[in-house]
Amino acid sequence: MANTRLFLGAADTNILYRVGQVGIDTGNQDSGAATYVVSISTERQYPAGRNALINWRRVAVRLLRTAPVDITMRVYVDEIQTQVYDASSNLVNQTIVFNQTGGGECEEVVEADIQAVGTSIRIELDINSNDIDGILLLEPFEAHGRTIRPAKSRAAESA
Amino acid sequence: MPPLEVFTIAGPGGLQQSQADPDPTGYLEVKNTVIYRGRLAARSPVYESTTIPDSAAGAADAIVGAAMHLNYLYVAAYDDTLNNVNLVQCDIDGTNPVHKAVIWTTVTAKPTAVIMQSFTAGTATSSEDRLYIADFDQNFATSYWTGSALTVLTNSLDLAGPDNTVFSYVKDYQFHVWGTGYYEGIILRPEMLRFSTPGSLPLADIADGTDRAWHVSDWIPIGRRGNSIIGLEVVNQRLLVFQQDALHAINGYNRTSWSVRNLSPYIGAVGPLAFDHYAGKICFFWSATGPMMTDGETVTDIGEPIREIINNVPSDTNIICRVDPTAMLAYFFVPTGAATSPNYYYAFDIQNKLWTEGQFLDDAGVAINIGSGTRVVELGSAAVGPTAAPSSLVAVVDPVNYDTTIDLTWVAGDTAYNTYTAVHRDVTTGFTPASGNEIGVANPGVTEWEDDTCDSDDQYFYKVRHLRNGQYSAASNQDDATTALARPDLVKLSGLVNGIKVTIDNLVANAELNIDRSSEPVATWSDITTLNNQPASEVSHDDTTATCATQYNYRVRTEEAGSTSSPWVQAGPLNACEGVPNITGATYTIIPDPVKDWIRSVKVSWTWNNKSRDDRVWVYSRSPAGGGSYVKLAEVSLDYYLDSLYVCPGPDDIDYKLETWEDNTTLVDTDYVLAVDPCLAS
Repeated sequence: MANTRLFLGAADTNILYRVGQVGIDTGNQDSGAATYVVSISTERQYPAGRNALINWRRVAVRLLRTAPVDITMRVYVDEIQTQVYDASSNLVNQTIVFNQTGGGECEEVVEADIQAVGTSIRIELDINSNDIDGILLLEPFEAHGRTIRPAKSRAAESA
Repeated sequence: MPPLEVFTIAGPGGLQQSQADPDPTGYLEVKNTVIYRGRLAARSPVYESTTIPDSAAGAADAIVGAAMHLNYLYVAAYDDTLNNVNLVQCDIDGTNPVHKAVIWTTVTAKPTAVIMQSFTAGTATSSEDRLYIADFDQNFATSYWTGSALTVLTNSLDLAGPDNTVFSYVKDYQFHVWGTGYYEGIILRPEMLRFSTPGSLPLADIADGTDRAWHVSDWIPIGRRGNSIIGLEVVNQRLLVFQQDALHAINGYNRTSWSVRNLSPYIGAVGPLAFDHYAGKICFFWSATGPMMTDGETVTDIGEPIREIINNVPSDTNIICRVDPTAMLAYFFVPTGAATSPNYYYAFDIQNKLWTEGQFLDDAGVAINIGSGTRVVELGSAAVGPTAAPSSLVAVVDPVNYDTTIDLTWVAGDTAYNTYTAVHRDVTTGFTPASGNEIGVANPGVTEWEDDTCDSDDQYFYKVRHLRNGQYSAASNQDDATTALARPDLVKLSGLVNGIKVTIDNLVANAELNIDRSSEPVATWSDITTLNNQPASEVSHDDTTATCATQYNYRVRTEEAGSTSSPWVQAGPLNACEGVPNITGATYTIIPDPVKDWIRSVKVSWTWNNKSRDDRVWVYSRSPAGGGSYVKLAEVSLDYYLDSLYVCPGPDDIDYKLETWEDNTTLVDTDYVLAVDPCLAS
């Protein structure tokens, strides 16, 4: 078989780097002990229209993984981060952490409860490379809610 | 309350900055991901492959060029103390660097780029493999490495004599060497593109009949005079000629057939490393207006989804484009912030036409400044095997089934998605892992194994090896565990008139059977006896110390000096003094249908004593009476059985057989009701 490798040379040191292969080297860290951060932010989505009102209750992410992984999620409704009461009954920004354990290739849906009313929704995910032990593939993200008020529309004017 | 509506708000996609209403495949940010198997994947990292030495065996200061040549990776490295550029040969996996030559001396400034091209030249009777080396800045003469020596390339355009040739770029196209930006002495023609003879063989130059590899008339002017050629690339059998503001393509096979076509009079490449090809079919390049691609026919803007980003990227000659064909990604490395070298990348997924972004980091977590890049292709190589062996293997008996099961855990040495782990077992220490002692293979990502195939009271030795693409790693450390004595196969309780009988199916010859008892519900176990030196067969013990009408549980285990006792086997509860169920009398009644007298049923009734909850009577019948085999009809806990409806006139006479089963497991009594004629007048 042919085996193609991509090498990069440093512009200011004598180090020659090899670029890892996706799916084979994924999950390892960068050169040495450095940790990179996988950051994902969806677009703001207005699934019921620009001036609709939705009671957002859940978000779900489907993922395929081959090893344990820790994922941090934040949800923004109308660009304001969702909030939750902490153990001291203080209202704080909601940060959702998924600690997925167990090995072997598996597909999972991780879900989180949210409570916010608004029009748009956006999800941010952060994953540190040292929190991924194997391959991690992220699949479609979903938000679940009830439409309180659909988008307004004006009836077409008749001739 | 209606169910929640489901809205898909994102799918596998890339950066999207140019849609007023983004669709769910667009992202505001996708950093350090790539598209893989149709989904977003955390991207793979970079590894430090090796460090490149200078000519004094110290550390070079920058890597300014790299290329594959004769199954080796050659690197051009600049040293700002020794003021030279060095040629270093590495193995094809980027390791084992060996300093080969000093290419140029008195180099007081780091070259922008060193361009290297592998080519087979020579004479008509002998070939010579050469690695051509050009200084993009045209400060130093173009040379070639033959494997043992560096030779300065010389030729002349004016026949005045062999002068050093100073190309800014060299490329192999249609078995000719092509050099750009011809400079000889004081003559500088940056738009001039020269080409050698086929195979760079010295052939008679029509100018004067002298054998030369570079003929005086073999050159092509490209574009406007004085407009420098930035570089050359080959796609779809065309030679792409990049200027900073124009792109041309050359077709043909030799000097008589070369034809130049201007692909774009406006779009070019920003620097000598700002372009690369995918599989020789598509060339990706960064122009002054952003990332583009061309197949040698048309130029396509691929940067529209990240237009805002592009507008913030300077048109820097240091921008590097390198294609990773394995991941099908075109990386565009660009400088950000105060960096003068590329330290951030935008990656274009070739198949899905989507953008992601990210950085490669060094040991300290600082973005790597990239100075050069290349691909190497290892033909005929074996598939990648495990990169390291598993370690820290630990074997312990299972906390529950410790007479049959040993649990293993280990630390993976290779976490690739296709790395499995083979488990090996033997009864001899220091054994060699092989297919004959492989007991199973754990899936990728799994670092544990439950071996439930062990014999009892045996010591087992284990090793594990990674398995990837049919190749095994070295073995892990060895660890061992010893299983306990075999537990009794079955413990059964039955009633005695003065207690409870405990029946044990013992599997260990000459073993001791330790019997404990607890009243129901189980609270505290009391040791009631130990049966010594028991045979490997059914053994029973009559417990006459139990209090009648009290429910008891029993547990039994096997014990033997020098061995670990077996797990307990529990049975119960059962009432003491219950006795064995038996039928004391049986009869039958013929029951006609109240309306249709010719339809009859047979009710077989019996009386039995010592009946407990799980005791049953098995009812059989055969017809005609006195012949044939009995057929089982039912297992009954009551004291009668109503046989099905018969239509008269007759079937034949029927025999009934009644078996009494203690706990529905042990046959203890058999009775018969014979020759029943259901059609007799009632």
